[in-house]
Amino acid sequence: MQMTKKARTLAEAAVFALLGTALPSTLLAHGAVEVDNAPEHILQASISQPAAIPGLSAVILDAPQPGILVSYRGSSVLTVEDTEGEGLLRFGPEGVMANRSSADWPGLSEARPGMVNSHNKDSSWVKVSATPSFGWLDPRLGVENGEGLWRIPVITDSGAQSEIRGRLTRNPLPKDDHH
Amino acid sequence: MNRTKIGFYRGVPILLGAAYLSACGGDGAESGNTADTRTEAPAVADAAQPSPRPLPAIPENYSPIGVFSAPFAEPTIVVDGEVVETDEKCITTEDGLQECKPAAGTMALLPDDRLLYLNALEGTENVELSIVAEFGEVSVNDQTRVLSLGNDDRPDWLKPSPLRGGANPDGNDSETLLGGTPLDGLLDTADNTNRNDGALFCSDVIGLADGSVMAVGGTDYYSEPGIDGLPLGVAELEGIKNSRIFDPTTNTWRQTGDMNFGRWYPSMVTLPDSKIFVASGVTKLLKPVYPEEPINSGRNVVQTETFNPCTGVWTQNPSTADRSLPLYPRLHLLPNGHVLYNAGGQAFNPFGQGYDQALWNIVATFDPASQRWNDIGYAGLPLRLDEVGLGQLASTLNLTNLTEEQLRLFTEDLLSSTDGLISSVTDLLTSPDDSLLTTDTLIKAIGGGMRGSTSSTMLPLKPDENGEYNNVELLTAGGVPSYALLTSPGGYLPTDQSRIDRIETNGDQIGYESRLTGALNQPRWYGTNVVMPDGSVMVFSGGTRDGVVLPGLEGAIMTAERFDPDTETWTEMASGHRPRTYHNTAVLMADGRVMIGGHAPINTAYLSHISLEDFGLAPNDGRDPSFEIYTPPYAMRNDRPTILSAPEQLSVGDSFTIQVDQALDIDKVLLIRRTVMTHLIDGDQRAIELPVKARNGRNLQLEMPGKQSVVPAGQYMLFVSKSTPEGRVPSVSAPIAVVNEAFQCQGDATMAQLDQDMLELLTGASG
Repeated sequence: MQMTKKARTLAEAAVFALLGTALPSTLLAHGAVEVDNAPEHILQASISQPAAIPGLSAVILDAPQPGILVSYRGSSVLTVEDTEGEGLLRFGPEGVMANRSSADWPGLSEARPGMVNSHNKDSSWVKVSATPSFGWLDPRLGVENGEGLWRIPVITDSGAQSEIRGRLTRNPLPKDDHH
Repeated sequence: MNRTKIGFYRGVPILLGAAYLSACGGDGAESGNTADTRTEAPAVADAAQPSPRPLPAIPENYSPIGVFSAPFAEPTIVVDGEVVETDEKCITTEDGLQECKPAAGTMALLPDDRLLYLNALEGTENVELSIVAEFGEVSVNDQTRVLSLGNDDRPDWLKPSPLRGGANPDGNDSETLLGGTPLDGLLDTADNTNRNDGALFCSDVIGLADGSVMAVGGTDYYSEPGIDGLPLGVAELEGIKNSRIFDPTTNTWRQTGDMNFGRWYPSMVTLPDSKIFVASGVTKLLKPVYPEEPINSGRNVVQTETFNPCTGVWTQNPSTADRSLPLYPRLHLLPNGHVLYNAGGQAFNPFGQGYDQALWNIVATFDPASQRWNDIGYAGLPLRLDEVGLGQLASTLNLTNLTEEQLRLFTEDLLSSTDGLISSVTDLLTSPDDSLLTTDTLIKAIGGGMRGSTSSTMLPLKPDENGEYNNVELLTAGGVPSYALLTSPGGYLPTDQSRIDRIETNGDQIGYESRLTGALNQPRWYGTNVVMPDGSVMVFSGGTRDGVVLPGLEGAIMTAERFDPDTETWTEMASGHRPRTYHNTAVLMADGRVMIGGHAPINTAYLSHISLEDFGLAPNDGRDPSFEIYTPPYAMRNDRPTILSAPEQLSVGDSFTIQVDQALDIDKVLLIRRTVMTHLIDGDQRAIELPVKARNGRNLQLEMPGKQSVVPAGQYMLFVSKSTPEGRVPSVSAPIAVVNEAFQCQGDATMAQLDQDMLELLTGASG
């Protein structure tokens, strides 16, 4: 199985956590109240400017690795571009399609080895949702991007272009003194 | 369609209830209260023998908040091979270990009204220092019991065989990190004992169509790193692949097919075709590192599987059916046959979360036909604000109404939003006045997103004007919202907020919308919900803080609350007698009362059991093996309607007749599936309102839903009820087995035998 950079990083981090710390924290499994070597900050994403396209809405999915959920109920087809400017997701009347040839495809939650489009096996586009909504872990919101601004370009088949913009901020981890 | 006249057997619960009431202060027979002088059928449902004298509808000892019985527990413990009668929870053996009575961390109502229960965290009583260091060694497979009630609620216990479910008697093939290498076994204790390789603890349970109960997954304990013989190491809780089935007709456990993945904290749902769907769980709780599958390291099992009860075989679903979900995800079968994930569950690993935890905030459905998941939206949005909702939202946004920690969180959030950002709130919010709200503020105000440690309860399904069941409403109250915190599963303080998510189905099209209801009277962590036969929802037990984040500091909540579906408000009811925080259980019984059990807390601060009760906190000094019976106000009354006869079996689309004693007053019929639950979840929990199509004297003609996706095959209880000034009053139930005629092995004997035959065929076992 080919291992993505992100997966490798995560696996390495997990192995490091196992071997490096030998899990001295008694609370490791149940809430990370006293996790050793925990970062002092977490990165949080927020939306500062929604895309100016009717029918498009987006919310941030809060977690240590932020995600984003996009819903599109517009009349045309909306394409979300990846980090290289290629199409990543396509929101249309039949749901949401994802581009397997996109550089960001491996990061999509639904991206699994062997996943194919039953209707067109030659196409790189596969359906990932039958609804107008889809959520994913976008690398532009990832920890590797650090602090700053992020933007996700979107374009409709009628030619309207826009961006979902936001910022990443480092927020201190909650202390345990309230316990 | 088989019919049965409800005779002595079905009347037993009412006799018991009457006896119980008598014990609590008189039966009211001589009270002279003539508020309701109608002569009703006797409690025992035999219309041919009327009561010798009318009883007042409301007895003298009636309480509008109900009452809890005195706690009762199994009277004996087996110590060093001898049965010892004791009131104590535990007894020390000759070798210094504690033998304790099991607590009901899992409970199921069997078709014959007995209760199957499974212990939880067996062995923690023998931790001397740290549960993390020692649990891998001292833990043992959990015991099981069957509890039945006799005359005067006299309890009786039966020990199933094998007592602990019987999984992995020769040990589990643990997937240790160094497995298959020359160091295999040197730094782990996976093979040092077989006593804890097949624990039922942390399995999920489900009621099969034939009335048996299947427990899937569970725990294999060991230490890694760890060295045999040394009580020092780091415990690992490995999710196991086992499935075992309890047969209530023989009181025995047997093994059926293994899953393809080991799962700890999985969730199951019965599909319309009577096959069983399983999702999530984790294979390694503490160290989810899988060298063979690095992309799956650091998260729960994303693969889903389907179980065929006829063959006893689990089949892995295609990769399109994969999804990252929290542990014990809150799943429900929708009327269109999809499985809904209601953005609720438990978050444990690693470091309190999975790396893809962000996706757990999304409500989604799984379509078994296409084997695909579809994102529906962010849990809790869009929010329709009616008068109650506006009031609740205003209350939540009133900073003086928050705890100190919540105040800090909200203040920080609001201060960080001074640029007036509006991401998409106008699209997401349906509100008469949303100009001041941002999406972030709204999400936090309503506790949107993934909700941990609370029940997701399906309100009774109701037919529309065409007699079809297309819409579902799910009640989520209390629990721990995300609060955008890193800690597991997002917060430490529970909320008092209550929300109903409405899902409208039209074929494969699904609409989703939320609304706020009146809040709980106090924030509650880990409350167990029960749908009552009067259509209300009650919540029992739980704590004031997250007892997993820091065990021992959760204050027990012993006061039950009742949700009125008409006013959508919560009211405090009677208080129980024993603290029941983590691993509490509650099950609706056939007579409309509720059996309350459980309480198996994690050792205080993950160390040894220390009671902090003197400080006003829950007694964390070990499991509580006791039970209490909650009698709701309606069950105290003497004028409950009675079902005189009803079919034993029904199929979808059946038109059928029941006979009742108060036909003119009965205006509602509720079919409630028998509860099979653990850790707040029962994936098959549902109640269905059946329309009364015609009346003829004592006969009511009813109609079953036309789709198995509305009423999956299984064991149900049929209640009828009438409206009174004091509230809705339901009958004692009649047992109904809903069958799936298209299912190839429908019928208990066939299912069991085919299952066993197939297992032997697959394993080559000789018997």
